[in-house]
Amino acid sequence: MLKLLKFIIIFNCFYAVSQSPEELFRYANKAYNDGQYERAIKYYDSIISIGQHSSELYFNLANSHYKLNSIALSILNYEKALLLNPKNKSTLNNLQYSKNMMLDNFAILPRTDIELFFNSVLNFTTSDGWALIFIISLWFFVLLLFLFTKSSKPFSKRVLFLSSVFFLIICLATLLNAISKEKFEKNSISAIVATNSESFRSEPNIRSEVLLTIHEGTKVLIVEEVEDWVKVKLVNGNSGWVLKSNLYPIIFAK
Amino acid sequence: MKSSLTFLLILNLFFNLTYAQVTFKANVSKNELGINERLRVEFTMDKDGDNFTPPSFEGFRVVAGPNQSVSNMFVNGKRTFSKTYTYFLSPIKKGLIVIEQASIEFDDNIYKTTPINILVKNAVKLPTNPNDPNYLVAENLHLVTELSKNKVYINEPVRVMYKLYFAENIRPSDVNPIDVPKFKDFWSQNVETRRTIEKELYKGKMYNYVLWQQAVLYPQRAGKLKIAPLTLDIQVDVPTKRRDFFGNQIYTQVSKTISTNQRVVNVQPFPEQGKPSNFSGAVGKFSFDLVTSKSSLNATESLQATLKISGKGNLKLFSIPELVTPKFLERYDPEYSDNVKISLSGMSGSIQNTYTLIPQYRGKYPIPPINFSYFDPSSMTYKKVSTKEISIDVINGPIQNERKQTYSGNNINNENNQTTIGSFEFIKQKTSFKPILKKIFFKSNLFYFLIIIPFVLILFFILFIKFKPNQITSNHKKTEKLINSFLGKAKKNINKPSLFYESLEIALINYLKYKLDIETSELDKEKIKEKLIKRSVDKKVIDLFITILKNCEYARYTPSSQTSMENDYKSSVRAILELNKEI
Repeated sequence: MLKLLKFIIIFNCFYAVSQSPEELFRYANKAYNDGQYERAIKYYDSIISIGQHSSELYFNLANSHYKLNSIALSILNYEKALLLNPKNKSTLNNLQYSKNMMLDNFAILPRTDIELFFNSVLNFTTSDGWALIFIISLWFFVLLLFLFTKSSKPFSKRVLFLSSVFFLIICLATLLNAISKEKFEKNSISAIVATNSESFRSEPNIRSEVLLTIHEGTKVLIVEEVEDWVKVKLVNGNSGWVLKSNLYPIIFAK
Repeated sequence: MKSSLTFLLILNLFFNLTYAQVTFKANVSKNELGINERLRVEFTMDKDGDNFTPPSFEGFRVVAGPNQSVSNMFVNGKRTFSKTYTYFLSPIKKGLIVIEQASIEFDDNIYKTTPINILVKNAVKLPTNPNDPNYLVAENLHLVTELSKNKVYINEPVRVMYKLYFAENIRPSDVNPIDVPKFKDFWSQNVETRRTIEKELYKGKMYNYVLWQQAVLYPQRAGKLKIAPLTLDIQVDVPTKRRDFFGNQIYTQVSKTISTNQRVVNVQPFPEQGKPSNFSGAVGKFSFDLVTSKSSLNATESLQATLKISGKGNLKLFSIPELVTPKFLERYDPEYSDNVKISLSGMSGSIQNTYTLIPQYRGKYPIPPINFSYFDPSSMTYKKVSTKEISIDVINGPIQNERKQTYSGNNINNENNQTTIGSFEFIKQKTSFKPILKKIFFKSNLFYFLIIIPFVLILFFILFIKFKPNQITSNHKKTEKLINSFLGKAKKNINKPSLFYESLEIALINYLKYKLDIETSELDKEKIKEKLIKRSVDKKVIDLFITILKNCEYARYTPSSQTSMENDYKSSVRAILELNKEI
């Protein structure tokens, strides 16, 4: 009996490993369509445990969690999908459905137009994207500069010089963006509150005063960590301490 | 006889006057008594004194008195006079009490009694007279407080009953409550009684009784709480030994004030162990439900959600937990209603809060479970009950979009963008997977490599191409210099035909000299031709050279035009250049 069990376990392991992510994805989608959301979640999670992911995977996983009314997990996965594919319309759309289920509604701290503009520029792509743009513009700059030295006609010389200067500016700007975006990516990890009523405390211990209670699905920004506690910031600008174990950080992990 | 009487009187007077012996004494019925007993004090004098001043009787209450009595007796012709003031006292306190002096005046003298010490002890059993109606009433009439429990928790109901017991032989005829108990520290509710006469065994004897008053009490604080006594003034008909004409017993009416003994309820506080944080003081046994009138509806329609607590316990003494709803499910203040019956065993029934909810946007609104905890006194533990999670589907309606706040000038614009994006989107079928642990390109070696590469390439290009183009340019410059050095003079004299051709011829010959290493003596067109052919120069170039030299010769003799001069100059430049290339 034990042997048989062992065999089954080993077989299952192989089975799981041997399947390609695409296959698992198909199975999961089928399970979702049949209304077996728990099974679909299992399949989607197994793809992640293989070490593969995609924006669509997180989107589908979030949808499954939404169907099961788990607010925090669905919001978490929509946010992950958005990290891989920002500004995806359907993700933003369904995320709103998830957010409808939340109990909290914090007013977002107003930001100036300039801030919004810089943010939207910075969020255009990832730090790697900015780095790539930087490399390309650098190449253009060097190429144009070279052509400038080669050319003998005054008109083309002028055009080449101006365009090389233009690419130099782009070069510097994108490098700056890449650096600040990388800093932002490293320092600003957001998290989703996992439990239904989480005490938002003034100090990282149980004795301290409870400032307010936040509910499942609330997105917070992690500011710093002390042992089991995390200092987080809410969208309305308030900050306080919550237990680390009651947060789902929005980071990619197996 | 008369004269003898007057004589005696006079004699008596005389004696009295002579001796003037006045006795004024205070007598007490007893020197020791129980606090419930009465004391008779007599102040006796044997002369008719005036201005009797009684003592203050501190420590006593004067029940009756002063009763004045005068006696005048003649015994064997001897007259005895006494005047007595009698007081009946009832002690107020226990211990040694002194009856102070009383005084009288007689013949301008003041006489005083001696103070008397009275020891007041504990109450003693009064001697009884079985035929005394008061005694009969006291023996056969009892007012008793009955409690259902002595030891309860806070908010656990206690039933209190005031019973009036009376033996069969006496008949209470009129009952007036004097002191109706007010239950301090209790939440109380009187329960109607019918006050019918029933029979019950009390202290081993069959009595008639009337349940005079009953109430349900919910203690509101811990500790030993006293239940205030009930005092009744009762007229009782008591039978006497006498019988009337027809042989019926004659009853006398006795008025009796009777009050209950004081009872104490020991109220325990709730145990601290395992006390839930949301415990609000509910004690009993309850069930907790959430019911919604609809489970799916359109946005901006309303639905009712009812939070109902039903069961047995102090339903009126705690509040229903609040309903928690998602933020976009608009919630209005609840409407409270109850259906609580109060019986002897306590409150039972249900209380409920009905909320009106209006969803604002399309979507799913799960109402999380709401917890309610109460204390169960029967098991002495806290119990938790919670509602089931209910999900409300909103089928039609606008979709909420992220609230956008833009800051422009001093105004904060709260834009609630209600864009009509579609319904909840289905899962995606196509995807392309990427490894989760991707390599970071920025600041990687590849990144730095790609930065360096164009510069390296440029450097490389510059170094590589320097050989060729620099050669070309330097050669070019050399020939230019050459042409300038040879044809410079000719160019200067381009307006003077004779000088021009002369210098042109010299230039060409000099050039050939320099190029072909020929002596001036050998300068001949034929010889030049030969030499050039030897050097395998193109025939065209040779021809060009020869023609120019010829032209120069002709020009010495014939005038030539400006155009031909220029042509010749140009072709000589060309010839030199071509020749330069070939050799």
